[in-house]
Amino acid sequence: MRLYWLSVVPLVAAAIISIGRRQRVLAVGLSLATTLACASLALLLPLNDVTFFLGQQWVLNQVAQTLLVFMYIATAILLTIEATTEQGESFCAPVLASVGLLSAVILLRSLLLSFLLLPAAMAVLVLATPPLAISAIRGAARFLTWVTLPTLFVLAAFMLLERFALFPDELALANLSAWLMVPPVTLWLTLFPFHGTTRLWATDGLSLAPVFLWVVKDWIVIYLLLALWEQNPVLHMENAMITLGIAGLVTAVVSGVLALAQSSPSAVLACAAMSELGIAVQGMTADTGGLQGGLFLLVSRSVAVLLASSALAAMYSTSVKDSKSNAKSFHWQSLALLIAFIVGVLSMAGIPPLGGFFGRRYIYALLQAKKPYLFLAWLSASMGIVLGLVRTSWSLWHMRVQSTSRHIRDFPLFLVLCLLLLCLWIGFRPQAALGLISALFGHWLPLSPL
Amino acid sequence: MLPTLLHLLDALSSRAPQLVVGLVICGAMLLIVSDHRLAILAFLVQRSIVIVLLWPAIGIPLAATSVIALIVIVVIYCITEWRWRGVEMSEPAHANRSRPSLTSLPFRALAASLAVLVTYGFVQTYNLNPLPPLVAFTVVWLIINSLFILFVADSALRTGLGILTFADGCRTLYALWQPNLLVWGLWGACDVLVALAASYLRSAGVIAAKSQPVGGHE
Repeated sequence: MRLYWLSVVPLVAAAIISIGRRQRVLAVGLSLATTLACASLALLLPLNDVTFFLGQQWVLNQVAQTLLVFMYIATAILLTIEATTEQGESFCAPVLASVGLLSAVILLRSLLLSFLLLPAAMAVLVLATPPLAISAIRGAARFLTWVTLPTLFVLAAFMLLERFALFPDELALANLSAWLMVPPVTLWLTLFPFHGTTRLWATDGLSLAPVFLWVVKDWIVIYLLLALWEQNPVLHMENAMITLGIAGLVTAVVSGVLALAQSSPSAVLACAAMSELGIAVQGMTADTGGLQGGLFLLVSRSVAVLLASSALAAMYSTSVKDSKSNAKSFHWQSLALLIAFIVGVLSMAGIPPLGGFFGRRYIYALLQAKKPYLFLAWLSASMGIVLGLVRTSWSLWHMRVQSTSRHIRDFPLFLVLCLLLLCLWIGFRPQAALGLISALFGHWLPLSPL
Repeated sequence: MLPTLLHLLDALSSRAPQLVVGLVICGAMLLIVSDHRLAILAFLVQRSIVIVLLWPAIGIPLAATSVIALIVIVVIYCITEWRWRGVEMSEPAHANRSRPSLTSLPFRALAASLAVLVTYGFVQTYNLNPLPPLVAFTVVWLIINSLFILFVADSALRTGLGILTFADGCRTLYALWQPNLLVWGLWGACDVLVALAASYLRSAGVIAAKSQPVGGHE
C-alpha cells in the first residue's frame, strides 16, 4: 500500500456513500470501516518513505502519522455518535471527503499545495449542515466565505518568499510574508472577529460538522503552520506573533463572556471551545515553552469537546425519543450524560483539576511576568462559560433529564464514560500528555513562537 | 475546428483592453442584478473572459481545465436555481416577506460604482510592480468586486459567486507566477466544491424557510 491510499480510500468511500445515501447502514458501516482501516494503514506504513503520485512527493513523518491516526480516530468517534444517536444522515459522506482531502494536506510535501487544498477540505464539510436549521445554514455560509478567502494571502506570501530566496538581503519581503500569514491563520482558526461562525453553525441543536472542525481542523491548521515555520524560519517575526497572540486573547475573552448570553447548550459548548482555542493560540505565540502548553491545551480541548458533544448528542437523542413516547420518569443514565457534558465544558473553562486548568497554569507561568492583566482576562472568560453552563444545564435538567426514561442505548453511554475517564486522566496526569507532546514536537519546540 | 478555435482565442486575447472593459461590465452586473439566472449568466461570461485573458500565459491544458470546471459550476448553479426557484416563488411567506434594503437595486448600483472607484483608486495609489497595469487592474477589480458581492449577498448562491470571483482574481495572479497543471486542476475542483456547497446551502435555506411559519424570523 502507498501513502496516497490514505487520501484516495476515504474519497472513494465518500463517493459511494453519496450515491447510496439513503442506505443508512451502508453509510455508517462503510464510514466507520474506512476510518478504522485508514488508521491501521497509517500505523503500518513506513515512516519517511517518499512516494510519488500525481507528480507530487508524499511523505509520512512521525508527527504526520500521529496526526493522521488522531484524525481517523476522532472521525470514527464522531461517526459512532452519529450512528448511535441518530443525528442527521448527511454527515458521513462530507466528513469522509474532508478526511480524504485533509490526509492529502498532511501527506503532501508541497506546502503551497497543502494550503490550497485546505479550504476545499473545509468547504466540503458545509454539505453536512442540517437542512432545517436556519442559523446553522447561516453559520455554514459564513464559514464557507471565510475559509476560502485566505488563498490570496497564502499565494502572495509564497510569491514573496520565492522572491526573498532570490534576494536574501531584502528583509522587507520576509517581513511582509510573515504579516501575510496572519490573516489566513486568523480566518482558518476562526479567531476574533470570525469566532462566531462555528457558534452560529452549532446553535440549532447539535451539528457534528462544527465539532469535527474544533477537534480536527484546528490541529491540521496548526500542523501546517508549524511545518511552514520550520521550512521558513524567517517567518518568525515577533510583531506578527504578537498580533496572533492578541487575536487569541481577544477570542478567548469575547467567546467566554458571550457564553453567558447563550441559551442553547451547544452554543455554550461552541463558546467554550473557541475560548480555549484562543488561549492555546496565545500560548503558542509566546516564548519557548509556550508551544508545549498550547499543544497540551489543544489535546485537552479535543477530548473535552468530544466528551461534551457526545454527551449532548445522546441527551438530544433521548429527548427526541421521549417526546415520541411521552415518558416522564427520571433515569440515572441521563444524569451521567449531563455530568459528562458539564465536565467537558468545565475542562474548557479551565476549572481545576481538569486539563484546561493545567494548560492555563502552564502558559500563565510563562506569561505572568510580562502580562499581569492576563489572570483577570482569563478569569472573566472562565466565569462567562461557567455561568452560561449553569444556565443551560438548568434548562437541560428540566427539559431533558427529568423527562427521560429507559431509552438511552448502552453504547453512547459507554463511549461517553470512556471519554470522561480520558478527560479526567489528562487533568490528573498531565505529565503523560506533556511527554507525548515533547516526544512528537520535540524538534519544533525550540522554534517557539510557532 | 481546433485550429480555428485557437486562432480565435489568440485574436481575442490580443484585445485585452476591451476584454477588461467586458470584465468590469460583467462584474458590475453580477453585483447589480438581483435575478440569480442573470447573475449566473454574468458569471459565465466573466469567467470566460478571464480564461481568454489568461490564454497566452496558461495554454491549452490549463484553459481546458478551467472550461470544464466552469461548465460543471454553471450546470450545478442552473440545476439548483431551476429546482428551487419555482418552490420559493410559490411560497406565500416569500411574497409577504419584506425585502431587506441590501437587495434593493439603487443600493446595488451604488455598491457597483463604489467598487469601480475603489479599484481605480487602489491601482492609481499603490505601485503593483512587477504586474503590468492591465493585469493589476484585472486582479484588483476581481478581488474588490468579489468582496462587494460577498458583502451584499442575500443568498448562498450569490455568496458562492462572490467566492468564485475571488478565486478568479487569485488565479489571474497565480497564472503569471508558476502555473502548474495539478494545482490548476485542484483549484478547479475546489471551485466545483464551493459551487456544490453554495448550491446545497441554497437548497437547505429554501427547505428551512418552507418549514418556518409565515412571518417567522429567518
